[in-house]
Amino acid sequence: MNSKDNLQRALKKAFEDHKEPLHEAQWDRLSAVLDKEKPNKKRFLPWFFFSFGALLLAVAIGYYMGQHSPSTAMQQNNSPAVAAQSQAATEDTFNINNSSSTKTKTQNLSAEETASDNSNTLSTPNTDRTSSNNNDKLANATTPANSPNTEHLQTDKINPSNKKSDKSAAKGTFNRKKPTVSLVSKGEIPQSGTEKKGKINFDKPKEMTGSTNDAGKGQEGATSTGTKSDMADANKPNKENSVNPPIKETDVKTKDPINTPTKPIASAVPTEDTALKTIDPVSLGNSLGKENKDSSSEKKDKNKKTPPGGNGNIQPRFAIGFSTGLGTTNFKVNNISNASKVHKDAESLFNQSNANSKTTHLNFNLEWYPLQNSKLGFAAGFQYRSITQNMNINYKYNQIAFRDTTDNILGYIFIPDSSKPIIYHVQGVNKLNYFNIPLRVMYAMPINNKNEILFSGGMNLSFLTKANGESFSVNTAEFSKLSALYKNKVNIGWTLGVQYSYNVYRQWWLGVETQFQQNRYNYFVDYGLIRSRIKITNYNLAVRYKF
Amino acid sequence: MWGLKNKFEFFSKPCHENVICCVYSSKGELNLTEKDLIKQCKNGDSKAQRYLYDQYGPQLMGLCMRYTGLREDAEEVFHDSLIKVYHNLDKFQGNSSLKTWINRIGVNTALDFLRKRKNALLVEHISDNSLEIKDTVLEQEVSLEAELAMKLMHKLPLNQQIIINLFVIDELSHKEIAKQLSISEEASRSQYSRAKRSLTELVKTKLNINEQQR
Repeated sequence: MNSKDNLQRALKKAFEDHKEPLHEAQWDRLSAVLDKEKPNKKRFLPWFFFSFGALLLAVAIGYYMGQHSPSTAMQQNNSPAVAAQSQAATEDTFNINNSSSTKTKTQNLSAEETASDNSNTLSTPNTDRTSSNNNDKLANATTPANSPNTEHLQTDKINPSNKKSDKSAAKGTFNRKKPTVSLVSKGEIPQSGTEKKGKINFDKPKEMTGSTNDAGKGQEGATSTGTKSDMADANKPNKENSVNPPIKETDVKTKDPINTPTKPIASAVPTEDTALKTIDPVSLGNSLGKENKDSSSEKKDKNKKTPPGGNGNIQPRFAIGFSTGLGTTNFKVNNISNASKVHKDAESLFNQSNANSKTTHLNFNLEWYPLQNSKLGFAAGFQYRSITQNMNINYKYNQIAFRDTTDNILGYIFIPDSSKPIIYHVQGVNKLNYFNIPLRVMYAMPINNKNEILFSGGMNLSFLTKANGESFSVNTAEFSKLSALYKNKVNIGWTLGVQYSYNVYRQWWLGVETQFQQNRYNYFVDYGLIRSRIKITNYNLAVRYKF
Repeated sequence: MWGLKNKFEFFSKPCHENVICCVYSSKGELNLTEKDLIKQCKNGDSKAQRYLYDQYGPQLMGLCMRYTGLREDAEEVFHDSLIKVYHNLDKFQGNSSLKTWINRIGVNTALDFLRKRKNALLVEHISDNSLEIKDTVLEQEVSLEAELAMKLMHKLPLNQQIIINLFVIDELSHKEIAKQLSISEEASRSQYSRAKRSLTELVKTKLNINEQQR
């Protein structure tokens, strides 16, 4: 065995099971570090579950609000009335059919009320008498002046001025006549009319210009009758014979938009099926002239196609938004505190380590527009952001700082390249996770019903939740934990954004967004502190639900 | 298994092959393998972490002492090494034993420490590649205590200490050493020759002194 083996063997044997005793203090130190990291691992979980729960809650609220949005509520409010009126009308229809041609005064009164109530409807030309359009029925019931064969349902209560000319009506009689055809188009006087008996008051409303009465088909169970003299009387220009005379007693009744129209419709619409079909909630719900204008406009609005993403005329006041995307970050050093103690390469290393940073984020927010139809609103929510820094730094440590007793750097000892200075190769990935709460003011600028642009701006509260990685210190030439180097884990910044949104389906909007965000970033470097700003530009895909 | 840790007693000595710990409970013997230990350590089980510390710590501390020579420095390296071990347990693939893997981390951490603190490992600059160094002969077989061996080693220059540690005790090849220290293989060999010659002289001197003392 040669000497080489002897030395090696001796050393190997000496250190084969070499152990050094451990002090308890070492474990305490180690466990302190490990325990510190434990909550870090779990810290994100509550945020995650909180975020997920909040998202679910918001979607649920959005769904609920969507189901009970004002338009829906309006429809639901109308529906019972319509149903009630339909039922009432149906009942009346049956009553009329069963009561033959004898009508009570009350029924006639109601019919006249309806006639005046629906004068607006009557102005609509209708040529198809066979159709079950309610307007036709109403026109038939309310155009005695134009059509001799239409029913005259005038009563004293409705028009006291017609007392003289409408005695039969005052007596409550309901006259019938053989059905004849009367086609009236746009203000034309009825072509024919034969009244054998009964008194008819031909009230020709000024606005009654286009009603078509086709009583000849005899679909209605009751047709009015009248004499020529009656017609003549009726055709006399008589200011009193207007459709909308001053109404006293009936005013009270006719202003009730729900109850009033039921009987007149019943009197005008003889069959159950027709009654059900012909009830127009708008025309029923608005009876007097002034109200008719409103109802007319409402009707027009209703006939309009409901704009997508909204509730007709009512602009949604809330929106839930979710966006995610990629972004770039830019770190800019503002200043360095205790700069006299910080190595001059520290800033350069800081910039190099942050040079290749990318960011992704998930953003959830709730928009609120406090004023109806206001384009200005507020948005708040939360945002999870992850910043990834790919580091690949080759640092030549060729200038060693020498310091005074207070650690101020007096100068640098330059190590020439000939002596081959140390080159530190720093490679790895640092990850920073933030939880942000953006509070923004929003301005929604609609382009049309399906497109809009959103401008937003406000403050951004930022919490650093996790910092994984290491940082190289040029002063001590050591690596240290990144998480220990942040001074402030909470800071405030600001944010600006522009989003283009497109209505894809009902209240769902899809958009693309550019968001700019800036937060402070204070970072320890040995004896000093680098004060910097993170500027983040995000390009996001956004989904919004309005309600 | 470690979820029931409060009910079990832990025994620090391995009882079977590939089993580093046996856990005894009322249901009988349960074996804790390296895999289980690693899993529990990763999950942040402090008892598992303590077990790993007790099991592998003393040897790691010895390694740190070999490289640094000072207790304070060794404790620093030891601490950093174990932190790395706990953080990188998921990267342990089981190609070697856990002990070997931990020791390798210890070696790397110690070298980093020396590189940073001592500005050492500039062995490349020593232009002694061309020198033929005569081996000093250690004729007889010797037995050294670890304490003495360490004392003698630390009388060598730092570069030579590192080469002796890496080549002789931790059994790295010159190629591996060259890669580890970013030097050439020739430089590693020459450094080792110098270190061996110096150390042999030191051992001889020490033994002579002992003979004289006898």
